[in-house]
Amino acid sequence: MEKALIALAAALAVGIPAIATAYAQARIGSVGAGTIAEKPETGGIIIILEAIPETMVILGFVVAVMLILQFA
Amino acid sequence: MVFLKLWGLVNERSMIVESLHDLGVLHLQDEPGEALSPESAGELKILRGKALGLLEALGWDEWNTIPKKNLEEKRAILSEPDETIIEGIRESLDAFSMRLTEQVALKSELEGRISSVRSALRTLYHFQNFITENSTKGMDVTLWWVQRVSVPDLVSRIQKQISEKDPLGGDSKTPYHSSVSPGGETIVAIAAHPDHVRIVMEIMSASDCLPWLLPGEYEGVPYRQGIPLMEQAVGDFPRRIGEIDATLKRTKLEWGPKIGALFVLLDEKVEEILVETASETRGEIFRLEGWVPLDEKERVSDFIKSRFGDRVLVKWRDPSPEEWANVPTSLKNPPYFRPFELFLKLMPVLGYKGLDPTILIGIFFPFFGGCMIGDIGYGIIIALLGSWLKKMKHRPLVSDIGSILLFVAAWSIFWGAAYGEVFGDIGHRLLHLEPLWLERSQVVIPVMIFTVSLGFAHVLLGYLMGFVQGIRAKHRHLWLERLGNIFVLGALLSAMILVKGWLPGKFFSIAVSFLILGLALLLAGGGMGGLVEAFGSVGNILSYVRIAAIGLSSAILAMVANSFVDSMGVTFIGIFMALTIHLLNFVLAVAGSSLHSARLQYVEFLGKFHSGGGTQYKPFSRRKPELWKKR
Repeated sequence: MEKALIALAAALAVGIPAIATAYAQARIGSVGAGTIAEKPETGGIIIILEAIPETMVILGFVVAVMLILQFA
Repeated sequence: MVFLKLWGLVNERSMIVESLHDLGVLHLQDEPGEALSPESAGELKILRGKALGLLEALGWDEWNTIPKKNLEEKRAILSEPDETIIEGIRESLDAFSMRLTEQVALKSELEGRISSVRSALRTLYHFQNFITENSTKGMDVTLWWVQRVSVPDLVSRIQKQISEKDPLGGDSKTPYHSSVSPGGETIVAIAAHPDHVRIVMEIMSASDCLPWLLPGEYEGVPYRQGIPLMEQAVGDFPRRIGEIDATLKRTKLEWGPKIGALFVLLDEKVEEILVETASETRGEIFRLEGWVPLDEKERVSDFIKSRFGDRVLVKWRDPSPEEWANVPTSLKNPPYFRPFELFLKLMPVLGYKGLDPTILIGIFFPFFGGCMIGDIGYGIIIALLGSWLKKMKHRPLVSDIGSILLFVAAWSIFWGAAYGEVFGDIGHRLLHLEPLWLERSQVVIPVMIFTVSLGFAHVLLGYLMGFVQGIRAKHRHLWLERLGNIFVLGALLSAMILVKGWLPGKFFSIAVSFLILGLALLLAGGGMGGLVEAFGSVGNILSYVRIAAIGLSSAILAMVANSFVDSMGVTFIGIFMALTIHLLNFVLAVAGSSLHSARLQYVEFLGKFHSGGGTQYKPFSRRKPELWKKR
């Protein structure tokens, strides 16, 4: 039971930030596509902006790994 | 950069401007605008427009195929374009344009005709049996477009009229057959005795029906004879279109580079005339001024001296602090690091007094990227890919990316040896390769600590550069804030060392002093915003844990790929699945590591000191066809 809860906690630690990241990236992506259509030279910056929300899920992933390593 | 002021004689202006164009290092203080173009440039601009129009009509865009020798020879001819040369170019371009237009128009006409002939054939095939059957009976068949009228009504009116006009004419029955065209219009074929065709025509015309005719040159040909003629044409037209296409392709290959060269030279000449016009002229003297990179100063001086002697007066001076915002920025880095200047092209132009981070990006970007990939096998593939791209010298951007990939590949191989990975665990299984440091898929925490430490050092370096930048630019708030952050980070580091017990407890007061001093500097430099910045810097450091996280996911995915061979055996499906997952992992590793490593440079590192506001160095130079871009 305890292991199941730890697994659930780890899953939530990755899952919730993943949803948030996906939402943010979807918004940035659609706006970015419009920006690139008007100013193709902004392509590089938009790709970087697209990667910024990934911090959330990466940190979530790290938390999940630590939860499993510490408690499981 | 040094500021150049040059005075010369008006009658030598053209030659002097041309010489400066050849030197290709002067960034003009006042960029000449096309709107102010003098009449003398007008004719050349028209020719330039014509040449560009022809290139677009030819669909030619291979600027790197222009032979340099050819360009040099023609440049000499166009150096002093008199009326005869301009007239000759105009006549040539016009004649070429006419021939090209003829070919394109003929092709367009043939394409139109083939379409209408095919459509007519479809209609005739539909009515072919009806036409043949009634023609053999000696009747004339006519085809009509019918709109808004009922076909049976029309036919009954025709039959009635024939009966009234010729009561003894025997069978007054009028055979007909109708069809709906793809466009939705109704076409009806009506057969009538030759004596009654006139009646059919009168009634159909009175009912707003139009005769359906064969297209173009087949208009007067009887339907039955028209079919074989049009079938022949349908077979012949594509051959003729093919011939025209082949002619246009040959023309493009032969004339594209020539017209391209002409365009480049005309564009250069127009620019020279605009520069001449923009120069300040007083009596017999003119003046030009602009910026020249310091290391080019001697070459420019010597060149002008040797070419024009004392007839040109040159004066140099260093930029004053008030001018720094307007001085163009030209990056100068060792050749190995030059490809990394690409990263700064995505940022606002570096200020003249700004710190150029290219070398640091060249060190850290491939280091972080390689740490994420961390696989000898993937590293070798990236090296091969990088070598291939680097050879594409005619595409500088691709060549630069190739050079950067070679750096990434070197660090990937280094980290691959540290983690003991060759395509995941294949190296361990087949070659008994052991990690030189640790196996990251099994021991996660030390890699995370290492990457966060890397982040600490990188962010601290960013703050140090920000501090130096603030001092250089005499920006008090900037250097105070950056120094405050350095102290806060120092306090954080001291506290962690104390907690670990690596330092005696009496050093605690040093950590507290650092913190107090840091907070005071932050408040002085950036107010409350400065304090928030300190929290942000901790977030920045933690962000480097992505290096470990992405690397871990890449290592595990590579092991998953290999496990397909374990579970399915050395079969086609097993190997195919393993290769597919490895390919996916490779793409993700290269794209992810590049993107995240770039992000760490832009957000976490450059954000600490990089300031834009500079002016791009645009030397007045000859066009380089391989770098030429359409305006």
